[in-house]
Amino acid sequence: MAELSVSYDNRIVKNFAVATMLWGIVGMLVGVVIAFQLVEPSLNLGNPYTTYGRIRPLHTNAVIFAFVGNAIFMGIYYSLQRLCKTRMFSDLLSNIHFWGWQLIIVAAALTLPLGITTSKEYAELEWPIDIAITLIWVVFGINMIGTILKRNEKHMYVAIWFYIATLVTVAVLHIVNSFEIPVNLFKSYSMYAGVQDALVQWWYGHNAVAFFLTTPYLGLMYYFLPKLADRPVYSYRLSIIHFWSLIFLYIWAGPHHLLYSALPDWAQSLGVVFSIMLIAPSWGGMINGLLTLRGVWDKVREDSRLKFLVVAITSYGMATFEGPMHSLKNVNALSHFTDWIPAHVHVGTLGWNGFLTFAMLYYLIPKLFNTKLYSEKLANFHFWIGTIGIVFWVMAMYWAGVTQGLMWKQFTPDGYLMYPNFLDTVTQIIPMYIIRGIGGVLYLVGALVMVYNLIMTMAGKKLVANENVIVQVAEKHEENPKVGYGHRVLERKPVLFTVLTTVAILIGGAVEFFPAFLVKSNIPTISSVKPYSPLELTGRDVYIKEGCNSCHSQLVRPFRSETERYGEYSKAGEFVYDHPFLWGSKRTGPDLHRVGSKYPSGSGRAWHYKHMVDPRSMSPGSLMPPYPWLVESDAKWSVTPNKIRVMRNLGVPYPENYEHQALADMKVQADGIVADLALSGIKAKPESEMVALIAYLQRLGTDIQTKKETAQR
Amino acid sequence: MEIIAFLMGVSLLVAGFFLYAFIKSVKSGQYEDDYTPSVRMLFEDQAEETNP
Amino acid sequence: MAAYSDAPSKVAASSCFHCGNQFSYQPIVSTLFKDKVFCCTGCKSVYELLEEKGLCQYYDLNNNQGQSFSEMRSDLRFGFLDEPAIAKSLLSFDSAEQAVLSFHLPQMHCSACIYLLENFHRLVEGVLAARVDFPRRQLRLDFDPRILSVRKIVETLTAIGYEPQLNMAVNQKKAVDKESRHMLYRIGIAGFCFGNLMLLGFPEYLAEDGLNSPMIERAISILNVLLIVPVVTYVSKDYYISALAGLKQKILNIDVPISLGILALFFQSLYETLSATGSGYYDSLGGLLFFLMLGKYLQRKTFNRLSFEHDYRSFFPLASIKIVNGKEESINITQLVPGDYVLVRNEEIVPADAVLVSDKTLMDYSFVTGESHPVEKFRGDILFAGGKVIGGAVEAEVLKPASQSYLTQLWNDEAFKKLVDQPYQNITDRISKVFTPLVLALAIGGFAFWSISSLPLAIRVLVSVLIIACPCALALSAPFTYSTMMHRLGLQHLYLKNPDVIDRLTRIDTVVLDKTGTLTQTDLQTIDSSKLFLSDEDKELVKSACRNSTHPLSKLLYQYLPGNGSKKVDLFDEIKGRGILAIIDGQEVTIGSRTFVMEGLPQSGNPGLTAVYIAINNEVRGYVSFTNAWRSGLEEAASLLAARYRVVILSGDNDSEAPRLRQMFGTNTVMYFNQSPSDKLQKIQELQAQGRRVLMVGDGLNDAGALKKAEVGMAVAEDSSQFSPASDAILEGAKVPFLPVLLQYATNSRKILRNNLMMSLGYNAVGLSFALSGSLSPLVSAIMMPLSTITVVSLAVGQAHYRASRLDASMLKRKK
Repeated sequence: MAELSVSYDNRIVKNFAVATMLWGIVGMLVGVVIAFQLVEPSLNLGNPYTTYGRIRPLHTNAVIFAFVGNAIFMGIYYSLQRLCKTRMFSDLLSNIHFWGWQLIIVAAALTLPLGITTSKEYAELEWPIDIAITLIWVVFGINMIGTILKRNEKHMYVAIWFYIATLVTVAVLHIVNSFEIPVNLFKSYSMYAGVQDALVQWWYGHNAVAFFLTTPYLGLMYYFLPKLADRPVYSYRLSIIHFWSLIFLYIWAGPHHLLYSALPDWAQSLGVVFSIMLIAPSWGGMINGLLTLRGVWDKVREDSRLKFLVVAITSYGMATFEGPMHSLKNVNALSHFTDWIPAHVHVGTLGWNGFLTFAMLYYLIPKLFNTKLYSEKLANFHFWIGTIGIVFWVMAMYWAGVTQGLMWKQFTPDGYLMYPNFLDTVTQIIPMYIIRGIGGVLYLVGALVMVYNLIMTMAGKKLVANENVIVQVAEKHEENPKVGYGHRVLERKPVLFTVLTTVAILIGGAVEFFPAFLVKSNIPTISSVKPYSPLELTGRDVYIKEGCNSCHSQLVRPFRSETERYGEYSKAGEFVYDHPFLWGSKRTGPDLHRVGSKYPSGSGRAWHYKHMVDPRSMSPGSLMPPYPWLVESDAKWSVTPNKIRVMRNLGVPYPENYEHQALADMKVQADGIVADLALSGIKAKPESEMVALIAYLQRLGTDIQTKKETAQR
Repeated sequence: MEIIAFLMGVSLLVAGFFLYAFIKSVKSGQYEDDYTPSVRMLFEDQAEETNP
Repeated sequence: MAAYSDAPSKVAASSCFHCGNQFSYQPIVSTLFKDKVFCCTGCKSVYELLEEKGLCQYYDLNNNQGQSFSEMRSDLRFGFLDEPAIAKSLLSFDSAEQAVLSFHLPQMHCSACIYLLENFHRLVEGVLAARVDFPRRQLRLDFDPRILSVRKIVETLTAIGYEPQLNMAVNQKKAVDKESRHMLYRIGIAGFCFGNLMLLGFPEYLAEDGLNSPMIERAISILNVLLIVPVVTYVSKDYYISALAGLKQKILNIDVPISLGILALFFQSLYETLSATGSGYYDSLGGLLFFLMLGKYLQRKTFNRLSFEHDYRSFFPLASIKIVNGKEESINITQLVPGDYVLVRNEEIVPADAVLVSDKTLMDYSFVTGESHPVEKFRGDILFAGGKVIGGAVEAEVLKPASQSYLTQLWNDEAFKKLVDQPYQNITDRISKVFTPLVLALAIGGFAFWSISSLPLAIRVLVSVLIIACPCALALSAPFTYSTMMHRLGLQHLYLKNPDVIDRLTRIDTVVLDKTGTLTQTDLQTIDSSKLFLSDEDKELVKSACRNSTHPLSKLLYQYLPGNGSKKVDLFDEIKGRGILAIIDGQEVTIGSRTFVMEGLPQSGNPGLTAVYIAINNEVRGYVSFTNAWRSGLEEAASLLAARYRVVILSGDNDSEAPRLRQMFGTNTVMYFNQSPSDKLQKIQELQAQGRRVLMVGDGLNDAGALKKAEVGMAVAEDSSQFSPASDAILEGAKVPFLPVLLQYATNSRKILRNNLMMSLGYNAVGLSFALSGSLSPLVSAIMMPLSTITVVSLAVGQAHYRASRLDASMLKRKK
């Protein structure tokens, strides 16, 4: 029979669409909240669960994995069915995928505020959730490959390639970066330590951006842009080249996140080189996208969805140009750790991901309900307010980033730091933080308007749950397998294709592990570096739990401006026992790697205590949230022996059976601290998290004797 | 040690795979029609006469 | 939509809903859809077909324009497809319940065409699947032979305006271009190895203080070697082969130094790795071969998809109708044997030389001899294969098999076959003739000199000289320049078979032009009535007389004369081959050939012209002459050509146009008229014998021999998709007047090439000085080589585009 009747599953698309809207609002809302927390600490509401350090990860996870994630699935489930001219492989899997993913999101929303986190950026979720993610991802994979295998269209449109790349890479990234050993149900330690962990983490971190926020969206662009503009993509050939070069190069770009870090030089430079090379394919994609619109600019004027796309693609271009720029060592020297980075990231997320998602929603919802959009006016309003929001947000942060970066590096003519007090560089940019917040609000308002608009569109309409169409069956016969439709051999073999992609990624990742795995040859081990004492280890976990690393780095870079401010620059060998590493990626507060030697063990402890309870009492004007609950909360010493055991398994040289000795040692060290605090008239509980945290802070960076004591404030 | 061996294995594996894929695809005239599909995807599917 | 935009729009009365063409006559109105009007029943039926099948998205995609419909000709035309043998010969796959068939449909031109054709299965019951390959204008159909016949498919396709090209060439299965495929393999392998070698190279370059890990270094070097092996063996193979071949013939071609360079580089690197004295040049070597392959591929790949390899088979029909004791049956024309009776219908081509059996017919030999006027043939006359029958169907008795007919023998006789693929020595070879011995001499000289002091140093010098002097840049600039120019020429509607043609064009010193169809426009006639003296009512008489005649010239005359020619004709007699005699209002009007009109009258006037004489009441009123219209802007072109080249004109026509031509081309232009195909071929050979390098420009089959024989054969076609004889280049008719400028593109590319060669030689000179002084550091050569390669290539492409756009501009100026 020439024709085949096929029924597309629209309900699953609708479900993902609704989830996208819901989580989008939630994620953006949290974003706005934490934005203003950086202006007014009292907005942390004085309880652990709404404190910046804990809900900042909530924001990133919500927007990346909940908002963008659901949007990706929405787009893929819609376009894949139509490109393959068949229904999804299995409705059951589709639904497992949908509900499973929402469950994971809920789990994240619960655990993160509770301080259950691995501290690895964009991978904060603890091991049980990691496993759940893996399982659901496999379900998604089976469903997708299954659909491709049973397709009724011989050719695999380029978008599908991007989808497959996403599927495979994200799987590999997630698994490799999640190698961790559980201590208990809610706690685990990363398998890698220090530099290795950092490398793996940023290989992941960068590629999470590449393969979760970029490749799938490029695929979606290659589907929805032509559909909306009603003209074929400018150059199909280019899009194919685009795909291959992108997927091959992206993998290598990780280490540029670690410039001037303790990572071996050449590994850093390798990252740089590839980041630069990335401009070519990225812009190839952007140009291909924009040129597709040539000749329909008149359409763009009236169709708000096309407007969204234009801004989205342009943002993609800007972000992918800026990224490589940041990887240039001298730019990075200034921009790293500052607000410039969030600015760069948000061009991508707000512009590229956000706007493309909005365009898809405005296209899909009316289509799924076989009706017109409720109000084109509102959509237009959404576009403009959203765009203004982005401009506010980004401009403010560029300004803040550059300002602060320069202030950090500013020296007086006679060679002293111009702004030795870190706070000066913070108060300077608070106005920018306010503007950023406003930008966020505008963007959020736009999103809310869209949700209203789409709800009104759906209201009273019936979902076309199953769209029945008649498709042409693919030819069964090749007149000559060697000639003719071969074009598609690679594409027609998704399995082979998947394998190839995997291997491409592996080789990329693998070469980066050259330095890290060969610990011996790369990390000069320092004899004086010793494992953390049980109490310090416990304190370190408090540090992780409260998400201190969201605002404080632990990596002094080899610049005079930093050694002057913080002390001796960080050596790779100092981190060999750090499971996980805590270098951080942003300095909203000062670096803490040498904080241990900053305050004398005696009175210093009191300083830390007071500072934790009420930061502003010690450093007026500080933006740091107060942590009064640390005084009371119990550090759960009982778990520590187990932690010691795990650490030993990971290669940290604790003596055999030390775990039995651990508690005693903790007692001793804790009592010492309590005694010191008592001198300053502070009564502290030895088992309190506060004591443990102080122990950790005072240990930080003290293993190697720094040449000169850093000047007191 | 074994890491390097592993890496060599991987890279050579990739080399093999890519060459295999590439040659195979060329042999089968992969790069023949690199235009029509981009137009084909624009065509709306023929809706089936929905009989209630 | 270009196909339509330049279509001559007639009086805008109404425009066809289907094809958008404007027409002035009574429109056909759809019976089903009253509001739509159509230019012809065909367009109507396609619309109704689409409408009924709900395919009207077609019109949205196509801004209301469909493929214009050619009035459904007699289904008989495709009768031969009922012949199982013939039908089968078209199928590429065949089974009881499914058959596969591919057609070339030059008419498809836009996304709407793709849409319509890929929905063919919805138009025709029995089609299982329809797939379009747009770049190749190919339609692939899977159909159910039990329900649907090949004939039905072809007829429907024709009905909706996509008449498939059916000719003898169709079932000659296209052989896959093995060579360019192998090139792709090589590019892939070279590219892959290059890529990875580069990655493995980076750490080396980046780590100032070494990788401080011997393990990694060892790993990298092993991988390097593994990756370079396929490059120096499989990828470079061709260079060695051609170098050896050259040496066998005692020629030092460009590939000798290249091969030596590659090997030198390889062994040097190998030595450095094994002796741990350096990191070798693996990435440079990989990159070098990658670029070389890319260049070669570009040079080979014809960017356009026209076929330059036509022979008579693509012109002759697939089948013809044989008459066996009164019954018609289709037969593949290769099976025609002398003595067969064939039936040739209106507009069909005579498949083989044959004797006319029917009383008379009109033969159109325009495509064969260039003679633009149909000639009348009578019983017993010989009809030459390739001629087109005009008027009713005729019977003829085959004299020779198709393959030995007057024209086709051209392709079949051995002498002609030899002409194919004459080896032309291209510019790079010419240069390397000088360059190579020099390099070798230097290398050996350097070796000799240094070997006195120290042998290892001498070896190093030898190697480095070969490496640095490796003329890769030299080998690359030609392909890149030519390919670019070729692309630009394509944009100007001059399509080249391959970039080498440019190189040959640069060395042309003689331009041979065919007249009819090349210098003139076949489709446009000018009528000269300066020798005709008629009063208005006389004109009315003549027009009325012509009205009744079917002879093409009378028709032309009828259209030409004013008035409406509505006078009643009392007596009309058409004497075949001579003219017409009519009595109108008691006046006797004689129209026709000189001899017929002037019987018994004093002879005078120019006999050569295609002229129609007119007498009224036996009083000659003069004659009108018909001539082909010259292409516009020809004068300027002519003078430019004559100024730069020796111009020769070969015409199959009579010499009536000689004065006009002389006036345009000047006195030192040689002209030959009444040239048979073999004469033309002869003339070219003579010219070449005089050591001239000839560009032949012509259209008809009768030029085919000459086109092949000339250094460059340029076939003129009214539009590039239409059939044209085998050639090195295809030029669109309208562009003939721009020939002088187009030839400048070629001469320009030569200039570009010279610059680049200078440049790369410069590089080599610098490099050599380092090398010979024995102080060539690996770094220098590592930088020099890719640098020179890249700069040369980018310069070549850049300049080519720059100069091309300047010429484009100058052409635009001329248009004004």
